[in-house]
Amino acid sequence: MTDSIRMTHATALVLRGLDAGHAYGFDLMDATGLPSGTVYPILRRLEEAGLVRGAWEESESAEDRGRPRRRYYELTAEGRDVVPEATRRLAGSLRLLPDALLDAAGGEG
Amino acid sequence: MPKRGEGDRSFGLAELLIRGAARLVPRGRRDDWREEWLAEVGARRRELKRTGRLTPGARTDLALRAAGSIPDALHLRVRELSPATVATELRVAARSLVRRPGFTAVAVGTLALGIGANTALFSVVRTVLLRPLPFEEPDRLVRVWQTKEGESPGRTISYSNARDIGRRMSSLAELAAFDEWRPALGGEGGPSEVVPGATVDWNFFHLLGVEPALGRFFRPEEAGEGREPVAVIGHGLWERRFGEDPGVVDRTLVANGTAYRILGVLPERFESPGLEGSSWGAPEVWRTPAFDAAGFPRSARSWAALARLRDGATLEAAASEAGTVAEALAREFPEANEGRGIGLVPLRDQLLGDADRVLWILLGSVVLVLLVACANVANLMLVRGTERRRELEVRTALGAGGLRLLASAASESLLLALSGTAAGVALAVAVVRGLGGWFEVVLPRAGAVSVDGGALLFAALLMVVTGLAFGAVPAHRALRRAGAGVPGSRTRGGTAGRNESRLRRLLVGGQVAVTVVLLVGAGLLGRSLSALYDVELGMAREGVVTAELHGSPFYDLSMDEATARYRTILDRLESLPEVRAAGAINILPLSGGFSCDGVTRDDLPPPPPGEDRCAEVRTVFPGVFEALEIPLLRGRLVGPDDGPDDPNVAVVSQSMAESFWPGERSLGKRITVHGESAEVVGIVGDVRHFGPAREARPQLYLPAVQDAWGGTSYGFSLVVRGDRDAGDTAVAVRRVLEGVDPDIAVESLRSVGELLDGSVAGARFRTVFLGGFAGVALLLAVVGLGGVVAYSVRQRTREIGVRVALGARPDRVARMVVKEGGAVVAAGAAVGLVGALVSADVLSSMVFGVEVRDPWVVLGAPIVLTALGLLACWLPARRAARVDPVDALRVE
Repeated sequence: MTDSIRMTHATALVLRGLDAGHAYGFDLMDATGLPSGTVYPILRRLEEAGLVRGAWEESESAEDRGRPRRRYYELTAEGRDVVPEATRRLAGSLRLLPDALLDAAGGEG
Repeated sequence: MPKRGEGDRSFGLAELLIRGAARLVPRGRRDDWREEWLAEVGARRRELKRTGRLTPGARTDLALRAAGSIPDALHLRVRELSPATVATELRVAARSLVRRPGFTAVAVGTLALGIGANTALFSVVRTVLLRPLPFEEPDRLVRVWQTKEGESPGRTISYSNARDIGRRMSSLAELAAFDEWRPALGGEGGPSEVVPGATVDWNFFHLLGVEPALGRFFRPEEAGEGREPVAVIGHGLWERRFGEDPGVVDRTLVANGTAYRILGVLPERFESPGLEGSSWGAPEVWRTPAFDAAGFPRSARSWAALARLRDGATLEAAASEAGTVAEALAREFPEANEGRGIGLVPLRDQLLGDADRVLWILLGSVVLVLLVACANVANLMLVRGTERRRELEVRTALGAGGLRLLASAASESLLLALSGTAAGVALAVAVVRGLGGWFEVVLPRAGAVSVDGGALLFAALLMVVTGLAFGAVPAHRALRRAGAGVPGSRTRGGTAGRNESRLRRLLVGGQVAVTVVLLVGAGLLGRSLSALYDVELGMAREGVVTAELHGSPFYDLSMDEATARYRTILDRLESLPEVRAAGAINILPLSGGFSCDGVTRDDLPPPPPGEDRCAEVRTVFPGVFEALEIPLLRGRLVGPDDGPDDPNVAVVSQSMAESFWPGERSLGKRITVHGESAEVVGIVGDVRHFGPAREARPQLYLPAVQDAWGGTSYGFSLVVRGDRDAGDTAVAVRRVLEGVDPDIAVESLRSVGELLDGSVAGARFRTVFLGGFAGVALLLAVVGLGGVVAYSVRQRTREIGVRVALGARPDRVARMVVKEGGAVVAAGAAVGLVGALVSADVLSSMVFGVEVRDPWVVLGAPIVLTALGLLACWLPARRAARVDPVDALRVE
C-alpha cells in the first residue's frame, strides 16, 4: 500500500497528525503547520489510496451544536500500518534540527 | 439540492473564495466539497467568535486558509484527467474508430488529401519562394540591361555599355557582366561532355558575396587577352569529374581544347543568375573573358549584367539615375545607344519570373481544398456525435465532469487528426518525389524540393488548426451535454437537432461555393491551355525531329570544311528512305533562343540612330522550310545554288515584308544585314518562334554559307521530317551522325511536339495542379453532400413513414428529398458563382485566348456542380421513397 503514495515530508506530517487524533481538515492544518492548499490534496490522495477514510459527522450531533456538519478523516487499518514509516521519515529530518529548536517547538503530541 | 445545517450565514471573504473555487470542482463532487469547506471555515469562524479572537488579522488568516481551497479544487479537477484517464480515453476512442472502419477511413482519407496536398505545395513554395538566395544581402542585387521598345524579350546589354554604366551610376556599388558559354569538357576525369558554363567579369562572385568552398575566385589581373586561362568550377562538377578531390585547386580542366587551371570550387548551395530565353541550365564552370570583351562593338548586345545597389540607394533612385546615364550614353554613342534606356530589376524577380504569383495562387487554392476537407470531416463528426449521444448521457449520469467528457470527445478528434496528418505527410512525400522532376523543369530553383523539417512543422500546424476546426463540433456538444446535467429524455430533433442540421447544411453549402470557385479557375486555365495548343504556329507539329549539335567539333575546321561536314550529314539524312526532308538552322523555333539583329533597307537612307530596326535573323541550310513545312508564299526558298560565292540572298517572313515594305513589293529589294547586302528572293509564312502565346516577329533567313557573321563555326540544329513517328526518325538521325563523326555531341534530341510542350510547360503545370485541386474539392463536396442527405433521410425515417402512411406517394417523397438537397447545392453554387466573378481577376495574367469571365466556364461550373449534387441526392432519395411505413413507425 505504501507504493501507492509517495511518503513526502508533508504526507508524513499529515499521517502523524491523523494518528494523533486530529480529524478535521483545519485542525490538521494547525497541527502540522502546513497550508490548506497542501493538506487537503494529501488527504484526497490518502483517501484514494485507502489509507484514510473520510466521513461526515453525525448530523444530529452537528445540528445540536448549531453548526453545519463537518467532514472528518481517520486512518484505516492500512493507514495505521503506514504510520511507523511516516515517523521514520520525519525522524530523519528531525535529526538535522539543533536541540534548541526542538525545545522551542515544544510538545508535538 | 438542500444544504444540511445551513443555519450559519456568514458571508466573509473566505466563503466567497470557496464558492468561487467550487466551480472548478468536477460537477459530481461539487456539492459535497463545498459543504466540507464551508463547514470547516464556519466552524473556525464560530470558534474564534466564541473565544473573542475574531480580529481582522484572524479574519485575514481565515481567508488565506480558504484560498487553499483553490489548489484543492484544481487538484480534484486534474485528478479527473490524470494521465491514466487520458490514456483510457485514447484507447477507447481508438477502439471505437476501428469498430467503424467506414467512417474512419473516409475521415482519415479526407484529411490526408487536404493536409497532404497542402504540405506538398508548401514544400515547393518553401524551396522556390521562401528560401533566401545564397548571396550576401540578395535584395540589393539587380539585373541591368538596355531596353528598347519592341525588341526581343531578353535582358541583354553590350559589354562596353555595361562597364560604362557600372562606372557612371553612383547608385550601383559594383557591376559585373556575364555571358553564356558552352564548353565541351575533355581530358581526364570523365567522358567528353558539354556543360553549361559562363564567362564572367572577374568580380562576379565578389559582387554576389559568395565564399568559395575551396580555393579562391578570380583576381582583376586574371582577365583579358593573353592571360593564363583559369576557371572556377561548381560543386556538382567537382563531385562528378574530380571525385571531390580536396586538392583540386591548381589541377587542370580541359574545356573546348584549352587547359584551364582551377582556382576554386563553389559551395553546394550556390545558385547562378541566368540569362532569359536560353535553355542554358545552371552553369558548372566559370571563366573570365580571355578576349578583349571591351573591343566588341558597342551594339553587340549579347551579355547580361548584374549589379549591387550601393548602401542606402533605393531601386527607384537607381532607376531615375539610370535614365540620366542612358541619355548621356545615347548622346556619346548614338549608333549603338540612341533610343535605348537602362532597365533595372531585382535579381530575385528575374530568377523567379511569374513563379511567385503562380505558386501563391496555387497555395491559396489548395487551402480552399483543405477547407472543403475540414467541412466534410466536421459533418462526419456531427453525425458521429449524434450516435454517441447515448453514451455521453450515461457518462454524465455516472458523474463524469465536463473535462472528462471533453477529453472523451477530443480523443477521437485527436486520433483522427494525427492519423490524417501522418497519412497526409506520406502522401506529400510521395507526390514530391514523384513530381520532383517536373517541378525542376517548370519552376526555377526547384531542384531541391523535399518535405523537410519546415514542411513537417507546417503539417503539424495544419493538424492543430484542422483538429480544432472539426474537433470543436464534438467538444462543444460534450460541454453542452455536461452543462445540462440531466440525462437525456431528449427527443430526436428539437432545437439542438435543428441547429445542427442547419450547421450541416451550411457546411455543405460552403463546400459547394468553394468548389465552384476552384472549378471556374481550373476551367479557365484548361481552356487557355487548349487555346495555346490550338494556335497556328506557322509550322508543322508532328513528325519532325530536331537535334541541337554542339559546335566544338567544328571550331578547328575552316568555313568550307564545316560547311562540307554539315552538307554530308544532311545529304546522308535525305538519302534515307524514311526521311522526307532535312535541313539545319542556327536557332530552333520554340527553343527560347532569340537573336534580333539590325537590318536596313538598301534603297532608303540609313535610319537616324535610335530608329534602326531589327529582325529575328536565322541562318539556315536548305531543307529547313520543307522539313518544318513553313509555307512559301512568293518567290523561292534558300537552295543549294546559293553558295558562298553566289550573290547574297535572303528570305523574309510575311510580317517582315509587311512592316519593312508597307504597301510595296518586297521581292527583289535589297537589304543589309550582318554587314553585307542581300537580295530578298522569297517570302515565307510567319512562325511563332517564341511560342503560341507570343505574336510572330519579323523574321529573316540567310543561307548559312553566305553569312558573314561566322556562318558555320557554331552549332546548328538539325531539323528532320520523317515518314514514321519522331522516335524512329531520332534513331536514324543518331546513326547518321555517328557515321559522319562520332565526336559530334548531340545536346538534345526533341520532336517539335516536345518543343511545343516545353514552350507551354508553365501553362500545363498551372492547369494540371489547379485542375487537380478542383477535382479533389469536387469529389469531397459531392461525397459530403451525399452523406449529409443520406443521414438526413435516416434521421427522418419516422417522418417519412408517417407521410407515406398518410398517403404520400413515394416518388413525391423522393422529390422532396432531392429538392431539399438541391436547394443547398443551388444556394452554395450561387455564392460560389459570385465569388468566382469577384476573384476572377487574380487569374488574368494566366489566361490565354479566353476572357476571365468567360460565360461558358463561369456558368458551366455551377451548373455542373448542381447537376452532380442532384445526382448525389438521388440515391438517398430513392431510399426514402422505399421506406416502409410500418417499419418506420415501429422502431422507437
